[in-house]
Amino acid sequence: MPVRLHVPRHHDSLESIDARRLLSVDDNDPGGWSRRKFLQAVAYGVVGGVAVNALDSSLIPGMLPGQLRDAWAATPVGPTDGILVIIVMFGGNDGLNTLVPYGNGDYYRIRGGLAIPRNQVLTLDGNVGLNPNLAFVKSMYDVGQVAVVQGVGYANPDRSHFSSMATWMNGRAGTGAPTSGWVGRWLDGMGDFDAFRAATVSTSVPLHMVGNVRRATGIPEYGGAFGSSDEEWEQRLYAGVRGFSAGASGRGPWHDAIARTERDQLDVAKAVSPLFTAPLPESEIVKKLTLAARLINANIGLRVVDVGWGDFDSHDDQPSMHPDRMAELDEGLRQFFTGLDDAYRDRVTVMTISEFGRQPYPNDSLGTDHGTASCLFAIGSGIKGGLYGQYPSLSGLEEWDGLAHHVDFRSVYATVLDGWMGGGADDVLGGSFPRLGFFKNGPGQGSGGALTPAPPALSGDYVPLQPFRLFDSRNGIGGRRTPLGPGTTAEVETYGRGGIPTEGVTAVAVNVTAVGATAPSYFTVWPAREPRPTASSLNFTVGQTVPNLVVMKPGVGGRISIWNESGEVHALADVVGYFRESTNDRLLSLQPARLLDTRNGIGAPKAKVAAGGTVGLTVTGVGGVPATGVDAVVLNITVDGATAESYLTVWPNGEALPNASSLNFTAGQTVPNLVIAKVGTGGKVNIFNAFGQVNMIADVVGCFTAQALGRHKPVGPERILDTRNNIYRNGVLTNQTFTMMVAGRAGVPTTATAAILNVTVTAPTTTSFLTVWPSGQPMPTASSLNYSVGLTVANLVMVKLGPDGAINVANAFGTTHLIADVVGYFE
Amino acid sequence: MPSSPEDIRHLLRRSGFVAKDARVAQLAALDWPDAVEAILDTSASPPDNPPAFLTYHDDGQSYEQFQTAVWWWIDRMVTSPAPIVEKMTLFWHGHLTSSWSKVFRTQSMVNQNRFYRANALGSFVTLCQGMAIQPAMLEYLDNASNRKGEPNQNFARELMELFTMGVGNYTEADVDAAARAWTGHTFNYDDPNRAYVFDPTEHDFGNKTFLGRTANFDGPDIITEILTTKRSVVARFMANKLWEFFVYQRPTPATLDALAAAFEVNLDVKALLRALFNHPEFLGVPARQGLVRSPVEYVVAVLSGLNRGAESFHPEWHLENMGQELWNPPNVSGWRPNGYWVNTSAFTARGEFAQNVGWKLREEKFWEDVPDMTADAATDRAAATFGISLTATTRQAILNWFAASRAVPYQGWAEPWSLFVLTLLAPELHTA
Repeated sequence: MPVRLHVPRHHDSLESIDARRLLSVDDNDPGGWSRRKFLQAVAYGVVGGVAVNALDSSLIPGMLPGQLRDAWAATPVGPTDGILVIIVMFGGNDGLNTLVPYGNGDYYRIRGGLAIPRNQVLTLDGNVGLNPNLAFVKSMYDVGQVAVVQGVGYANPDRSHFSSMATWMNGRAGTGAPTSGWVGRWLDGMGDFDAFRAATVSTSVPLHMVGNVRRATGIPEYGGAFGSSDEEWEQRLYAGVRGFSAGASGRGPWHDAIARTERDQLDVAKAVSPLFTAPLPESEIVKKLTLAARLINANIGLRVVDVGWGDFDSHDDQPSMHPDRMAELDEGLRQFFTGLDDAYRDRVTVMTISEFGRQPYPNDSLGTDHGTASCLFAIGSGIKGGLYGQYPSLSGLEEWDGLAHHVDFRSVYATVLDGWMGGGADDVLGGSFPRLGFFKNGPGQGSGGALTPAPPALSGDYVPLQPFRLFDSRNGIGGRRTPLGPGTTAEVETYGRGGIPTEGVTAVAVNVTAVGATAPSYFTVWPAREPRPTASSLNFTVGQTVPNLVVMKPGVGGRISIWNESGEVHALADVVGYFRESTNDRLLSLQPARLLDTRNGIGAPKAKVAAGGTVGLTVTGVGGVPATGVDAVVLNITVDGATAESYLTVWPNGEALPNASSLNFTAGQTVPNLVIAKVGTGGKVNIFNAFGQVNMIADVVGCFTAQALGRHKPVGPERILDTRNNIYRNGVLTNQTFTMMVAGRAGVPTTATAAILNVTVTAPTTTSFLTVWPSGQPMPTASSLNYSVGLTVANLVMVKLGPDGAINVANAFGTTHLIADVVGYFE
Repeated sequence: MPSSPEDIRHLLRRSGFVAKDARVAQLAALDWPDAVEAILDTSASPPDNPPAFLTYHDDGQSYEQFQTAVWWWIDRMVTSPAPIVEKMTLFWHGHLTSSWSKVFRTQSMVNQNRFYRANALGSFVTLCQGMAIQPAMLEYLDNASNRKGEPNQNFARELMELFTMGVGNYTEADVDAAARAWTGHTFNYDDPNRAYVFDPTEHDFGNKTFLGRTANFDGPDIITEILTTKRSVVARFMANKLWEFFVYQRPTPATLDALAAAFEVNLDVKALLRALFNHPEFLGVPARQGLVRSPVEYVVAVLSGLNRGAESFHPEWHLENMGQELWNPPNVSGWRPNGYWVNTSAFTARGEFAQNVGWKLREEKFWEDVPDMTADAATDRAAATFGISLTATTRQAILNWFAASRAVPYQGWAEPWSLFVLTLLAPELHTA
């Protein structure tokens, strides 16, 4: 005769833990998107742009795993965008022991030994209080940032993990297996979307994060190094993997979806791998919530982050597990809010969900079986703290009874969607559910109701333009026909001019030139109507013509300001390109390579270029620049031995010579300038010399291509080196080389791959040149900045960072002071 | 009439895991029905003798036993000359499923696995009756604690909903009745082997009304009742399950009719498979493009191509991150296909696997001659190693990589590893 023993559970019951995987959507049929489904998507306003090919499902973005768009540069979270963090508690959380009705004698009668003693409850009012392990939640409640919603559930509750979680995740009434989730449908309705809008930290994407046409991105909680190396040979490998999605395979939609997913995976790895460098906590939800905070801080555009863990299925020996889960939740929330950047504090709401509560009466195993209604939390600075809903009655309950629900869970969703996520609740949920009103203000509003500072960094990708003159104080272009006097500011409008759009611009690349100065002076160029920074953009002396490329975020109304320090001087401004949100182009920074030197016959005959002469220069397939797919190259161009005052214009081959200059100079001057040149036909750019004869030297330092990974982010300008004032190092440099750390300073993160510096030489004792190159590499034959005795010369230098985030700087001859301002970086 | 080698490759990949040239040549000489018969021939399946370490339960070495079980089964999948047996065992593992994480005994899981293997292409009646009393199932769906008076419905419900018929073919009252019928079918918790026993003191001997008939049903009678009175429902249900496992999702009613008719005769699994592989739709474009390799299938395809054992590559680590832990189906409905495996998180794990296997092979100087080969020749060998035919796009991507790599001096050292990883990530290796 068998002996009955209590069945021990050594291990979390997967039956519930893996509800998360159970509820992952299977895309059974990638090619078979039905017309009906498509029409539903249209009803949500998603796919209007591709209506012509509406019934060709493969053209609908986001339909299959693998984003159809190349662009993964999400716009950052806007100043009034709300971010939602969802914590799923798998297995059915015991609401009675989470929000304890300690004032109700029935609770102690029914729960018996499983009840939490009155003196341990973290009381919220005279009737209810929190589980003793929720000290952090209590502290947030005390400052009015926690809404506790009581009695949440739905009619005719199903006590199966699968069915009930499916109902919660779906969030839409209807029969049959759900095929989409509430967050996913909200994503379907978003205006702009890419794969960095919503993320799930898991090996698969759960139902609530999958819409009819869009889905969240899966982020592995263990990080995963594949795709994140900066080693050039591994970068080449990644480029190979990206090539798998370069064309349709003819092998069907799954093949193509796999290829696209592999490409997306590389983007995700690149974007998220830095988040894993600092240690993460061991405990599952603490780890995931720590990661969630880092994901939000990374400002990659996430609006929804989904995390979850278990096991809450406390059938047996509940005291051995439920307190631990509560403590894990509390610690996870504490780490999350501690780790969250201040810029997001007023933009994040955290909510918990679970598929059901437990039965009030314990079973005979010191556990509780599957129940019905339960409680949940919504936490954040936008929350109007307090108790919502109604505590389910405990009177008259019999064994096996569940708790009555007073709030449909979709009311919680509706409140969050409309109160925090910008609306769409009724469409997403397929009906109108009463709002609970637990937000006291909208995203981005501090306690005073005023908008708090928006998330900082701007990101974007480069769009090269045919050079266009925005401003010339000599002839009134841009509205001014007089030189800039001492302490004078000129404002230059950029939006809508020369191909710069009026919105979506994150930075402009403008070549600014000083002409005919009456005194030694400098320009400071900065976003208009913002405090003028202490930094020089270009320095010049009497009579000199000095250009410099400036890459900066435009200020109010798309204007940039140019300030002259002393004397009188004319200013010219030519736009050469801009950075915008979400394009394909990324910077590929290169070890500098010389493509042209007319002094010794590199790239062109060994002869000065005559007046009106043009040099055609092949810039693709050379010096590390890929042969194809390159939209623009970054050249450092230097003139030497000019016989007359003149200027160079660099423009794409195959287009008309524009009225703009890339580099202005006077006779005898050696002048460098960084030039971003759009690549013309045949992979060529042309360089035009206006007057006299001149030698030209061109070094390629980078290029913009869809293949590369760097996203430009403007910072500063902030001074990171000034040998005159003991910033980084002190005293003149005597024909020497030194290494300077850039990453981790002046807003440049340690993940940066390249930096843009404005480098100025002052008081050199001899004619010489400066070379700037990545640390750990041999010194290239290239110059970043050429200068003559006594002159102050500046140039924008784009330089790849070495593996340690540092650069090398060498001055060739004599001694000089050196100043460097960081103005941007790429990562 | 000989068969097309391309069709034979498709047959081998689906009925097993990979298409090796020698086997393709062998089968291509046959008529299609004979080729199908050949792959359905299980006589070459090696004796099912798991390592002794897996034949008992050791609480102190539970992870080691789990790990060994992964290696053991993966190795069988890689090496068996009758891969249909392992493929079907994998199917049953995901269909009549149990999970190590709840059962927590490798021994029970391995015994269940051996039962599925022994009946992999056999009678569905035997499979159902046997699985119901396998200790793993008794534990997993709680029949072990299903007692008279307070019946546990877990097994009774899944038997009908997920194992045999699908929703809509039974009522809640049928679930109640079936649960009562299965009371008393348990094991002795003191028995180290947890062997099945029938405990009459816990069995409900009362009359039950099940599927419209009233009788003193015992548990096994419930299965008999389902498989006789609902035979055509069961046949169609299983025809759909197997078509989706082997071919593509959502077959047409006509296809299901054909398969169900073959299966309904005596619920012989081999007859169903014969109908499936001989069905004209099996060779259509939707079939050829219809499935993504699950993580297990992918790992097995890689190890088969390499002709390597599982142990040194630790598939158990990588499979978990890819989303498919062997012995641990996510829930009682088993694994889901296609899109379930294709996301950036799961593919990070496939990339990591490719990298790590590559590093391991590098120690063995695998493909160290790549730098001395032409890009074309090295690419051809890479594709042939894993039996894949590269699309023009994939091939060009690899050749472009070669060109980029060879444009830089002294990069030859990186070529074997990089080519290996590229090959392992070729989408061709991830479709079934």
